[in-house]
Formats: sequence, structure tokens, C-alpha cells
Amino acid sequence: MRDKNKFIDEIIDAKLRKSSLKQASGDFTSHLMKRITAENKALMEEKKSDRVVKYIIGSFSFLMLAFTFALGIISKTAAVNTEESTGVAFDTMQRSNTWIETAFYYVQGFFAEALSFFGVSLSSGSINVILVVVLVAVVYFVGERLIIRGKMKQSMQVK
Amino acid sequence: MNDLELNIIRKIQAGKIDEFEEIVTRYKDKAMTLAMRILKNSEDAEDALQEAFIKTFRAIADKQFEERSKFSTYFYRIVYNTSIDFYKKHKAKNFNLINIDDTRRNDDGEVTDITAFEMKIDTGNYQISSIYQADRSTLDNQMQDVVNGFLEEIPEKYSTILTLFYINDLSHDEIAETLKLPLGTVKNRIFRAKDKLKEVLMKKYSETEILELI
Repeated sequence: MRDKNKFIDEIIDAKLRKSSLKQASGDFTSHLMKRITAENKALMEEKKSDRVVKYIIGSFSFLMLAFTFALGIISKTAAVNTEESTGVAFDTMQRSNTWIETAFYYVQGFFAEALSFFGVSLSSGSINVILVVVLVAVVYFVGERLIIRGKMKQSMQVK
Repeated sequence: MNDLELNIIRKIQAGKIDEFEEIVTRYKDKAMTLAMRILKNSEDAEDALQEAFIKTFRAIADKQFEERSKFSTYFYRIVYNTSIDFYKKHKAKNFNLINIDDTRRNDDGEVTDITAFEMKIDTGNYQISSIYQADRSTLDNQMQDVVNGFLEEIPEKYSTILTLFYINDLSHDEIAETLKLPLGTVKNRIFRAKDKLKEVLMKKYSETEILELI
């Protein structure tokens, strides 16, 4: 009885394996390959424009980095020349520097505390460098994710 | 993944897009069978399949496909997901909720439950009396027709798994991964569907007739 059941199961397995394949229409492959060629062209274009976007984001990050360092140098120089400096433009820069500095010192202090919690102590200069590099990396990756991946997702919606 | 497929994939990544035709030729019929199980309409199935092939091409060209995974599993997952999306977009929303024993309707509103399928076999195409006189090959063909008809009529959640297992040659684990179902559910559905098929066959044919086909 057990053997009979086993044989019937085997026959059912064989029948299921032999069950009819559905065939795509005759022009399926040629039509698809035309679409693939067009898709490949679009993909190439997209890669080119992605490269341009990457350069733009990279340049922007670099500019930000340079600007931050320049700002640091200017604020130091400004502190030295404070007695000689006058004028509206200088006051505005001083005020905005103060606001940026407050925020920056807060983050710097927090970061230094966090590092000291793990027994690491760094000079404020080193912390500044790390923070700026982290900031630039964040800007780069967020930009890359939002722009490039967003675009890729859009293009995955196949026409 | 076999070496030939790996070779084709590398050629595509190197810009030889014509090589993709080899993949299309290799997989289109098996993938079409899977899409048909879900969409039950050759036009929709072909559209979904075209979309699935294009997604696969992009994945290969963009190197999103990781070579350590099996290409067929990866590809059938795309076919399955695309067909499901297509179904949801274009057809009824109560997809996959029905049981193998439940009544269901096709696009034309016709009842197509298992009982109706069995009745169709009783009254129509499959004359039991003639089977007794039929030779072995006729019996074999008739039984194959019953199995094909059974696969057409059962709910998608069973026919898809049976197709993935028997036609697309995926293992239980690969099916579970493709359909995002627990392994136990996959095994259970295969078992239940086969059990039901056995029941259908045993109603139509005697044990001796079935065993004649060994």
C-alpha cells in the first residue's frame, strides 16, 4: 500500500514537471531586444549625467570645506585686528561669526565630551577638522542619495 | 550560478548587450508560465514579462545583481514581483486571499473553483468510459491534460508555488526566499496542492490505471 502511494506520488510529480509551458509570442524576443537597446542608451545617458551631478556635489563639498577653513582663518585675523576694524560689513560678519561659533562650539564641546567618555582626548583643532570632514561627508552622501538614487528610482519605473 | 550564465552576465556588463538575448531565450517560456499562473492572461503576462526582463537587464548592467546568488532565483523573484504589481495595478484587489477549497471567479465572472473544475472533467472532455479502452499513451495524455487543467484552475498561491517548484526548478528554500514566505508554508502549500491533485486524479481514474503509467 505504501509502495502504491509512493508510485502514485511519483507519477504526480512527473506530470507536474511535464505540465505545459506557456509560450511567449513569436516577436517577444525581438520586441524586447529593441526595448533593451533603448534602455541601454538611456542608461548610458544617465550614467553620464550622474557623473556630472557627482562632480557638482563634490565641488560643492570642497567649497564648503574651503569656506569653513577660510572662515576660521578670517575670524582669527579679525580677532587680532579688532581694534582697527570698523564698518557695517565687518559688524555683520562678526555677528554671524558669533552665531556660527556658538553653534560650532556647542557641537565641538559635545563631541569632545563624547570622546572623553571613551577615554579619547583630542585638541580642539583636531576636533574641528573631524567635525568639518564629517559635515562634508554628510552633505556629500545626502546629496548623492537624494539626487542620484532618487533619479535611479525614477528611471526604474520602466516605461 | 553556472559558468555560462556568469560569462553572459559579464559580457553584458562589458557592454555586449546582444548577449542578453541568450538569457531571454533561456528563460522566457518558464518565466511566461510563472507570469501566466498569476495573471491568467497571455497579453498581461507578456507585458509583465517584458518589464521583468528590462528590470533584470538594468540590475545586471548596473551591477546590482550579486554574482554569489543564483541568477534563476533572482530573476524569478523579479518576474513574480512584477507580475504581482501588474495584477494589483490592473486587476482585483483580493489577490491571494482565497483558499484551495474556496470558490473563485475568473475575469469573466465565471465560477472556477475546484468543484467546478472537477465537474468540467466529469461532464466534458474526459470520458471515463473511453479511458478504459484507451491505450497507455492516450491515458498518459489525458491524465496530463487533467494536471494542466488543475494548474490552470487552482488559486494562484498554490499554482505559483507548484510552478516555481516543478517548472522553474527552485528549491523549497529558494521559493520561500522568492515569495517571502516561511519555509513551512511553502512545503505545506505544495503538499496540499499535490494532495488535492491526487484526490482529483483518484476520482477520475482507478489506482490500477494510474499505476499503469509507471
